[in-house]
Amino acid sequence: MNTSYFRSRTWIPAAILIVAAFVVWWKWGDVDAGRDGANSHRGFLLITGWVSLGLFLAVAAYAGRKWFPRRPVVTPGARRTPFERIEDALIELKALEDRENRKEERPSLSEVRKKAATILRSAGVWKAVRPHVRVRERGTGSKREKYIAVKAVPARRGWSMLRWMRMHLFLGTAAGALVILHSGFRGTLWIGLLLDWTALGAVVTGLGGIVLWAVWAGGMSRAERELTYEATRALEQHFERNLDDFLHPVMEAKPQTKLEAALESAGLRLHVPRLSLALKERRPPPKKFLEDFAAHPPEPEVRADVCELAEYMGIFTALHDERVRLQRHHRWLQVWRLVHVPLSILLLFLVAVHVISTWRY
Amino acid sequence: MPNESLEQRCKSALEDYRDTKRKYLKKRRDLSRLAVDFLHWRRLEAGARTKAVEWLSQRGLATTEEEVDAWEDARSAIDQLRTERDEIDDESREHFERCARALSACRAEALGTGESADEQPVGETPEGREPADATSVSKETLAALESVEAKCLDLLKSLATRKRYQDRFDPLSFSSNDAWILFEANAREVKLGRDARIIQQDVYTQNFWGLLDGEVDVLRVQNDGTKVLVDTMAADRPSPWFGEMSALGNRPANAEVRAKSAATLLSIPPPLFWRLYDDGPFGWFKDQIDRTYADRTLHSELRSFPELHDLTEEERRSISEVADFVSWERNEQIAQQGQPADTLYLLRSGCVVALRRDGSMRPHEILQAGAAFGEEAFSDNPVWTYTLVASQKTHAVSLPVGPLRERLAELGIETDVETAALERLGELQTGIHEETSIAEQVERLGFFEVSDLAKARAGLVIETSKCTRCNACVESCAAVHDDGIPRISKIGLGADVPGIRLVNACYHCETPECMSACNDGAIRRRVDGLIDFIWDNCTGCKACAKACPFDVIRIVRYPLEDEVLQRRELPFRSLFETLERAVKGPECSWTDRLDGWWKRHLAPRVPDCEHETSEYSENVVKGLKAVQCDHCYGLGYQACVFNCPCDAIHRRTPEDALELSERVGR
Repeated sequence: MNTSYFRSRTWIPAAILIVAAFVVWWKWGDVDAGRDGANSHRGFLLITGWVSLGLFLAVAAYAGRKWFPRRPVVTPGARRTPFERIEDALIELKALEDRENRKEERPSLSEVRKKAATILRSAGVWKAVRPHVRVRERGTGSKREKYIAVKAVPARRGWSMLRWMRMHLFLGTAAGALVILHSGFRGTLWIGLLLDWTALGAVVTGLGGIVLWAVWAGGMSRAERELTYEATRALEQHFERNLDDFLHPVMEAKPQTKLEAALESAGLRLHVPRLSLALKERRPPPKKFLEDFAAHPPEPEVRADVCELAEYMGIFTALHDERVRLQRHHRWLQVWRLVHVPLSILLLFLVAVHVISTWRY
Repeated sequence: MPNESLEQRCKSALEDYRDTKRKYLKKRRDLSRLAVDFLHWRRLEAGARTKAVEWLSQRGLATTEEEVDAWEDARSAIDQLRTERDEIDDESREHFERCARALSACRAEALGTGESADEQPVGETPEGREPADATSVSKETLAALESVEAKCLDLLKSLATRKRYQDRFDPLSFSSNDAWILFEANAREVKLGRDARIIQQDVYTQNFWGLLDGEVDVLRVQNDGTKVLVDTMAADRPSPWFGEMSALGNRPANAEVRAKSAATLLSIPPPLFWRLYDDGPFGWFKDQIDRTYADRTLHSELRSFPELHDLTEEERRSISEVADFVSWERNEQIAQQGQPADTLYLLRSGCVVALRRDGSMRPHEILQAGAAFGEEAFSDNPVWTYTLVASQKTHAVSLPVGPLRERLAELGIETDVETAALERLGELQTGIHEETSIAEQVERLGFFEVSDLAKARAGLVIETSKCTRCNACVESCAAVHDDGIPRISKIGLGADVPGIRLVNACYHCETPECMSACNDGAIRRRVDGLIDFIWDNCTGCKACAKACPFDVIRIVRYPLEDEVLQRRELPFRSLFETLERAVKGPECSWTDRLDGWWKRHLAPRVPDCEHETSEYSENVVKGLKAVQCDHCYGLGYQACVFNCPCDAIHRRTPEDALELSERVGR
């Protein structure tokens, strides 16, 4: 299971705080959820509404961020710092590392970090790289010693995709909880009901997505994890060509080939057209072929050829199955996306309608 | 019908050139071998002395033992060789000029221009002339004439270059013909003003420098930033070259070099350096470089032997006199388990795998630059406890234990060294080395063996249990490069490493084989040790891609405008396709139309490429370029790592990758 999604020191507390604050208000503030409750509170309604709207917008921004790196907006031209300046700064950092390590009394890491930061700032590369100061070990055996390593690491301006993902997960969940507090599922108009259920659907499918994303990859077999779709397809094509090389002469040659004779002697001659068809249609070879092959071992002089053919068939089948399984997994992810994304788009649209109609009427 | 007499003359001219060249190359080769033999002779090696004596007696320079002994000052003998070399060159130049004239005349006659050999000046060819009588010589002969004449002119030009440099820069005195051809293409003469910095201390440098004129200062930067003068080199003093330590060891420079006065330098890039260094029987360059290396740095490198660490500078300098240099090719066996051990080794560059037979042969340790092995030679039972194999081209310093013991006995420190060596050997054999068990080490080394990662500095790894195959890493990689070409591929190296996939992306090797293979200076090592491609110099020859052990260099046609535009496809295209399939069936014409409209009107266009085609050198192969992972240098983040929503892809050193594999691969 991929627990990286849940290791957020920012968004989990933020989501809990937001929801807890409103739950406390609702539970102990003698306020009813939804507009038609006996103790409906206008302020509660407005604040939960606006906060959840804000959260939904923040959550929707994730989709924009996901698309953003694929746009040429982030091409190097916009932000790239000249190589020469970075290299000069790296030279200075190396000199700093040597100076600090040669000192008899080891300086504190924060002190070194400050000096490194000054170097990077003065070199004008602060946009691109930041100092990374750690105590590391070098040497072997009894000559092993600790030293302060000063490196420059990418500045990582903005949030990484993982951070956006965590924000999406936890603020999305908090937004769902706020929608429940906001509406109380008491809507009587169709728009209210639709909004309630769409919000619930988006949040529930989102939670399902968390499970899918966090568990699916870890739940695969090792073979499935080791082989990518591309590698599987490449291997499959390789064996497909090998099989074609085997079967083509059998299919085309007018005089009887050695292999054809072998297949005939093993009672497998009839399978050749079916095998060829299976290959063309990218289907696994018929099981009957393998069964017949096992039942009628071929003559010793051609056994090696037929065994090779059978081996290729076996590998091809396994690869084909592998690819089908991967496709199935991808399809599940696609299906999930097909439910979650349209629901979320619909939700944002309905929220906009709801906000405008409430404000206006 | 071809004119038989002319045909015969053409063939004779061709044969004459070939014969002259063959003789010239043989003479030069013999001379170079003799020069190297002389160097060895000076070190009193018996076989070389025999050859040298033969040479002396053939020339009537020395016949008796006494006269031979008088030649012990090898310098004067080598001066004789230099004189002979110049004579051979001058004589051959005349021959080649004659050959060139004959070839040119024959070609002119064959083309029907009728110029005689005397009228046709050397170096001028009747380009663009159509043969008056196309049947005067056969097409094959005419083609051979053209190509051989060009070669002859190149050789004459090369002889002029040799004459210019071989006296000014001693290591080039006896280089091979092939090395000279590469030298002409790659070496550069650089003129620098006073106080210009040539090498910066503590950063990776790659070029080897020869001082042709002027003086340079070698400075060591101290703790407080002050610079101490270590040495001053001048063109007219012995060994006027520097940069050999970094070039040989692939490590940062240990001193700063500045021009003391206006200086002229010869810049030799790494591929040329290695070609000159590994020049087969022409070992003069290697010998000169190794000798300087030994004089300048060997004594300090011997500190790396834990056994010699505590000796004084003078003691180490004394010991360095018994040291020698050895090299092994990739997969060459260095020692065999059970065979007698008599030498200590210190790795200068490359990588050695120690294998141990415990039932079956298993990897026990990976040794890299700076590591020492061969402590067995000090034990009571001096046999190798491992089989040692070089996993790539490897260079080392060897210390034969016999002479070492004698030298140590003279110095009176024999006991300490032997005890330290035996202690270290004991640690290795009982597996308490670095506080890990044998089983752990084998597991660790098995990982390196299969993944070939020991050479790498930093590789991209994917945690397979986290990756959802969303392809964000590859797509973002393509997006942040101007050309839209992704530098990574998730197919992986196919290594059996549990829990992680080793992505096809540059591993920035300690000893970059791509850099050594590139003859165009298109690959350099950045100051932080990472590998960088200089596209302006890349000719698309694919040598780097062939040399790369990880198969991560891609050769692409550049610029790729059409393909790049295709990449900027409609957002959520797959979603539209699925919806259309659900509504309309398998054909996706609506999506295609929408996609086309998007590309025509809304899709962002690719920014102009930094490199204009006109700036490429003339020998660029149809715009082919090599690309590899550049760490998104200067961008502020590594796009693949930064844009992975699953926290699955990481940049790791081999050790960190191993730890990750152990953690997640259970």
